[in-house]
Parts: sequence; structure tokens; C-alpha cells
Amino acid sequence: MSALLRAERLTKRFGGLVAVNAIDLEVRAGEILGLIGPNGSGKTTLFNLIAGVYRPDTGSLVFSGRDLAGLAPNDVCRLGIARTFQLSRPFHGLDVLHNVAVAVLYGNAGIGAVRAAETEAERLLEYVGLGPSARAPVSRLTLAQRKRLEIARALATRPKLLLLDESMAGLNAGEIVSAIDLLRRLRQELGLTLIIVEHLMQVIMGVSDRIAVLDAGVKIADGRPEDVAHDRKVVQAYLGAKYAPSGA
Amino acid sequence: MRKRLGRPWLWLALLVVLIVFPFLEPPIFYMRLVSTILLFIVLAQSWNIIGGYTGYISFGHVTFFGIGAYVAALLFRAAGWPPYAAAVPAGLAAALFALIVGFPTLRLRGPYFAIATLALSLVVEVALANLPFTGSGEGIVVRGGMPFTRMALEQAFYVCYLALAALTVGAVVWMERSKFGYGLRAIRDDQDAALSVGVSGIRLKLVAFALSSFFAGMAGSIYAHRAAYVSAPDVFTLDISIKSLVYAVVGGSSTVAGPVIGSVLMELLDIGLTTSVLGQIRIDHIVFGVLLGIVVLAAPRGIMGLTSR
Amino acid sequence: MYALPAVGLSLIWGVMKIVNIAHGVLALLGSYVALTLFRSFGLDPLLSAVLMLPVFFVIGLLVQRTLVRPIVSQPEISSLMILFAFTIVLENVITRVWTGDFRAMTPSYSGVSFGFAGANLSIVRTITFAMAVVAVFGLDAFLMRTYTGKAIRATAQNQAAAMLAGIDTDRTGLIAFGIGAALAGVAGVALGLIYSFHPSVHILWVVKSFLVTVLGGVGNIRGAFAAGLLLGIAESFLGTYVSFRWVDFCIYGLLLLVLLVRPHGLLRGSGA
Repeated sequence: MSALLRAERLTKRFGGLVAVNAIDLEVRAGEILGLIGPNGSGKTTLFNLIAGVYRPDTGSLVFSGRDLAGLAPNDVCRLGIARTFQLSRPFHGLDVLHNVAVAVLYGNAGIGAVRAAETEAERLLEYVGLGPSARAPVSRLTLAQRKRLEIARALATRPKLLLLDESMAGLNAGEIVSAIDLLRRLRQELGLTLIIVEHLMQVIMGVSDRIAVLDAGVKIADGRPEDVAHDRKVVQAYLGAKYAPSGA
Repeated sequence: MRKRLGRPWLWLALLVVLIVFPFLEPPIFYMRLVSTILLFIVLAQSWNIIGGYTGYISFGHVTFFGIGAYVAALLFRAAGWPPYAAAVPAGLAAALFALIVGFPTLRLRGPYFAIATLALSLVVEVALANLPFTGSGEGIVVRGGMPFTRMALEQAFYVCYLALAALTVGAVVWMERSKFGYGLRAIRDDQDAALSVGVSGIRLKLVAFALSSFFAGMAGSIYAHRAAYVSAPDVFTLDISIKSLVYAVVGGSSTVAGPVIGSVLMELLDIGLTTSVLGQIRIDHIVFGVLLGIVVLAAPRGIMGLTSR
Repeated sequence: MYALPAVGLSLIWGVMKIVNIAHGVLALLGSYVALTLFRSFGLDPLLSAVLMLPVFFVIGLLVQRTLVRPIVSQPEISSLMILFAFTIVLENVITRVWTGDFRAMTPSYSGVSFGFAGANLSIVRTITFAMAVVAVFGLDAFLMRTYTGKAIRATAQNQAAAMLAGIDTDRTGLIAFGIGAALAGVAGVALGLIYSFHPSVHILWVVKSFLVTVLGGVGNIRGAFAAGLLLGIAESFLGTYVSFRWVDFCIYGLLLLVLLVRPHGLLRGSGA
């Protein structure tokens, strides 16, 4: 299986702090990769590197054979990588529908007309379950709905790889179940490859095909959930909190 | 929020009235008044493109107005070009300048961009005032090339301003429903998120800036002929930058009607204040400042925001 | 000579992350008040300067409380706008009260210069320089030695961390603004002694202060002081070589250049 995304010895420093330290990572097409690690371990920085927000200091980042280093975020989007933000960042001055429509217009959907974009946006909102809220202002959405909007907006750009940054933080149990379901559908029905960052252990262990663990900018484990859960270094990094993967 | 233009027939009727107005030969004072309001509609609306819709607040809008004025003056001095001919080149010159300075300045964040535009207006003012071919502090006289009777003159300028105002407002109407307009607002609301969905930040911002300056430049060229004399300190007043901003914001930035309503109300207010007894104590700008402050504190979407609740 | 206003601006900017565009007009207010005190009561401007400190401190507090704090949650541009509105209002109030004429303050010693180490130094400039030095070093000591001062510095560096450490960042911002305004008032007196002033000159002043602040590093008091000295010297220097009209051009042009070339506060990369 060829790697959709490959990072080799990827490094990013901020002043004296090495946020991401010589990380090697491979993501294969169609898989769900879980990214975990204590706070400050470099997960979001890694996302930002992939998404083009930061430029790597050293190392290489290749997506579908294209070198990502130095590309601006909008160019990265054009290549087929979409991302959500940890704290959702909608366009407050536009209604829900147009939040997604913008992404349709400027992403890879190949739609340049506003009307057509609005139709496509409606379709996407239906897909994530936000159909009825299409004309509402963003301020009326609940947290769970905002997370959905983030995802719909990302989907609108027709990505091949989707980076989900804590898309389940703050959701209640019922919302989490729906969210997991959505993730599975994204992979199943749309053929997306996902990299997800989550702090909810049971969730991420259950959903991911593979888990990579970061600690202080370094990758300390990479493998199947069951193996990673028992890895001594991982256990140590989390101060003894131990989670076995739950069911399917 | 599907912002339809409200009642299109209302706008149409207004337009018809405005077109007919000058040919009824009303008193010159009123013609001038409406002309001036139209001028500020152009300035406020063009400011709105970069300041309201894109979220890049400019304190130096007068820069492009002034460049337009100078280009028109130079064209007149060199080749006798009348205002309607000079308008487009003046606008283009201003837009070109905007592209050049926009490239570095649009990378700055909000407050820094604002101060940079302020500094820019000062720089350009001093430069244009002192360059040898621009009159070296004496200005350029732009008289002639227009009909002679007073009424005809006023009518001619009125028509120019009206055409320009209609053009500017029309451009913003188009822009609001276009892909471009949505991209701009995305940038305004959250530039990083906009980038993440493929919006090319720098390209859109540059176009918006150039477009905004284009209309301001055209306004400047007509003004140059109307004032018949172009000299940097008179043209490059901070006043114009302030009015462009205040009229648009108080009226409601990021809306089509906002700058129009703002210009009408505020300019009338301005005239009213300066010609009344209160004019003695120059209260007009104080009122502007207070209104701006109130808008920022309590009604960020301006008058339009109040009416659409 | 530009160090004084710049220092106040730098402080406010650094702590509250607000560009106080009203800084110039506040200083101008100081100039005019000192002028009135001098003309009507014969009060020497230097004494006025001392008086200014508490008065303008309070003014700063009021401005912060009423105008700035309510919109702390809004994007930075809102505070700029509100201060801009305030600037417009204040400039016009000044014009109304004092008319638009050019003014200058000329106490008995203003034309006098003395010889020192072979150069001719005007007393006025020396005194204002001394004022600047005293003010800056006083501020520096305050920031370094006192609890409040350290609280201010902490808030400027990292607001969230400061809050966690138990610092009342709201109050610190307030005090910083007050101090900044106080310095502006004093600076106004100093500037008024050296230059003639009129109601619109505050824009020039704030633009130059801006330049100095950015050059010295936002929030960096000592840097602002050094940069202020440099700018003053550069200005005089330029004045002897270039026609006076172009001096301002160079100053503004320099500001533009600095703004464009120097990333400040913008690119720390605190991405999502």
C-alpha cells in the first residue's frame, strides 16, 4: 500500500522550543490514523505543518507525490488536504449555508457559480445532518452543530485527506456516538483518509486503524491500537493511565 | 442571510428621480448639495469594499482620491482632457498604485494596516506636493474644458457624480452576490479559516484594494475639475479619509445600503451643523467622532444593523 | 525628544495590545493646558508637567474604562476605531477651545542657549531631554522594582499566564493606560516647549511615536528611549541636508518601511 502522506524527519522549532522533532510518519490511503499524546506534544503543530500554516524547518512532507513544504494553506487545500480547527472557526458574518458555499467555490469542487455552490452546500449540510439549519446564522448553532459545520465546510473542498482536530471535544455521549458514525461514513462512503486528534481514549482507540503517539514533539509509538495501548513508553507518557481498545 | 436589495423598485425610483433632478434646474445650492452627497457615496462605498467587506480598515482612503485628482490635473494640463475622459485613467492609476502598495501592506494585520495606510496618505501627500512636475507646492489649475453657463456646469458635474455613484453602488451589489464577495467576507471573518478552504488571501485582498482605489481615483478626477485647482494639502485632507470611513461604518459597513444611507444622513448632518448657529463651534466633527464611537461600542453594524433586527 | 511620547505608547501597546492612536492628541491636550496655565497664571511649563502626571493619569483611566474596556473582546481594530473616534472628538474640542492658530510656549528661558563641550545647546532642549530621561528611568524603575510594574510586564508578555498567576490583568491594563496617558501629557508639555503646535499636529506626533515604538520594539521601554533619541538626531541631521519639506517624507517613508519589513506580534504562529 502506498503512502498518501509521508513525513520524514519533520522538524519545527519556535525559538528555543522544538515543537516537532524529526518525526517520521506515514499515512496510507483509506485508513484512519489516530494521533494522540499529552498536551503540548506537538499534535496541532503537526497538523499546522501538514496544512501549510507553518513551514517546516527541516525534513520533508510529501502528499501524493507532491512536496508540501512551503505551500500556502490555500494551495495545500487545492491539493486535496482539508482540516478542521480545534476551536471551531466559522465565518460569523455568513449564514451556515454560505459558510459551506465559500468552501465549495474555492475548494476543488470545480464549481464557480454561486447558485450551484449553494445547492452543493445544501447537499453537504444534509449529509452531516445540518440540513434544517442551513439559513440560520452561525451564532444559533450548538457546539456539536458547529463541529458538524466545520466538517461540512472541509468536505466541501473535496479533499482526499481530512485532518480532524479534536472534533469531539465538548460533546456529550449521544453526540459522540453520532460523531463516530459520521467518521466511519466519511471513510466508507466518501473514501476519505482521516487523521484524527482526540483526547477521548476509548473513542480514538475504537475508531482508528492505526495510532501514532507523540510526546514532547517526538513520535514514541506507531502501530495498531492494541499494541500501542500496551506500549510501555506510551503508558509512561500518560502517567499510568491505561486504556484497552474497546470492541470493534 | 439572503440579503436581497430590499425593494428594487425603490432604488429604481430613486435613480429616476436623481436623473431627472438636475434637468429641472433647481437652485444651484441644492444641486451642489446632492452632488457632494453623491461624491461621498462613492468614497464611502469604495471604502466599504476594502474596509467593510474585506475587513481591512483603511485610514488613508484619501490617498487614492488624491492620486486620481492629480492624474486628472496632469492630463488636463498636458492634453486638455475633460473630466469624463480623465476619470478612467485616473482610476486606473490609483488602482495600480493600490496594487503596488497593497502587496506589502495587505500582509499586515488590522491595526497595522490602518496605521500604514495613514502613513501612506501622509507620504504621498508630501511627495505629490513637492515633486517638480506637480506644481511644487503651488498646485495645478484645472479650469476650462467644460461648458460655461453655471447651470450647465453644475448639471455636467452632477451627472458625472451620479454616474460614478451608480457605478460604484452597482459594483458592490454585484460583488455581494458573487464568488469574489463571499471570498472577501470569509477573509474578513477569519482569514486563516478562509485559507484553509482554498481562498487565496493575497489575491482577493489585492483585487479588493485595487477596486476600492479605482473608484476613489475616479472620484478624485471629477473633483479635480470641479474644484478647478489641485494642490496636495487641500486634496489630501485627513478629513476625506475620516469621512469615507465614518460614513460607511455609521451607515453600516459590509452592506450595500449602509454607505449610501450613511453618506446621505451624515453629509446632511454636516451641512446642517456647519451652517447653523452651532457651526460657530465646529461641532460637526465632534459629532462624527461621537457617532463613530457609539457605533463601535453599541451598534457595530451601523444604521443598517439597527434596521435589520 | 520623541522618546517621551513613544514610551507611553509603547507601554500601552505592549500591555493591552492596543495601538493608542489617541496618544498624540492626548499629548496635544497637555501642550494646550500647559500653555493656558502659562499664559493665564504664569505657571512655568515644567511645573505644569509635574501637575500633568496625576491629571492625565486619571484621564487615561477614564478613557480606558469607558471606551476601551467594553470592547476588549472585539477584534483589535475596534479599539483602534474607538480611539480614533475619541481622537477626532478631542482634536475638535481643542480647536473649539483654543482656535486653530499656531501656538508656542515661550517661557523666559526658551530662547537661551548655553555653551557646553563646544556645542551650542538650547536650554529648552536640554531640559526636555532631562525630563525624558527622568520619566523613562522612573518608569523603568517602576516596571522593574514594584509589584505593579512587574505585573504589567507579566501581562504584556503573556496575558493568560499572568491571569493564572493571580494577576488582575484588567486592573493592570487600566493602570498601564493611565501611565501611558500621563506620559503623553508630560510629553505634550515637552513638545510644546520645543515646537510650535496647532490642533492637527497630533497626527504627526503619533505617527512619529509609532515609528519610534516600532523601531525600539513594541513594549520595550528602553528600546523606545533609544529609538527616540535616534529619531530626534536623525531628524535634525536630515534637516540640514534635505529641504525641510522632504524630511517629513523620509520619516513617514521610514515608518512604512519599518512596518512592512519588521514582523511584530504578527507571526508568532499561534495557529489554530
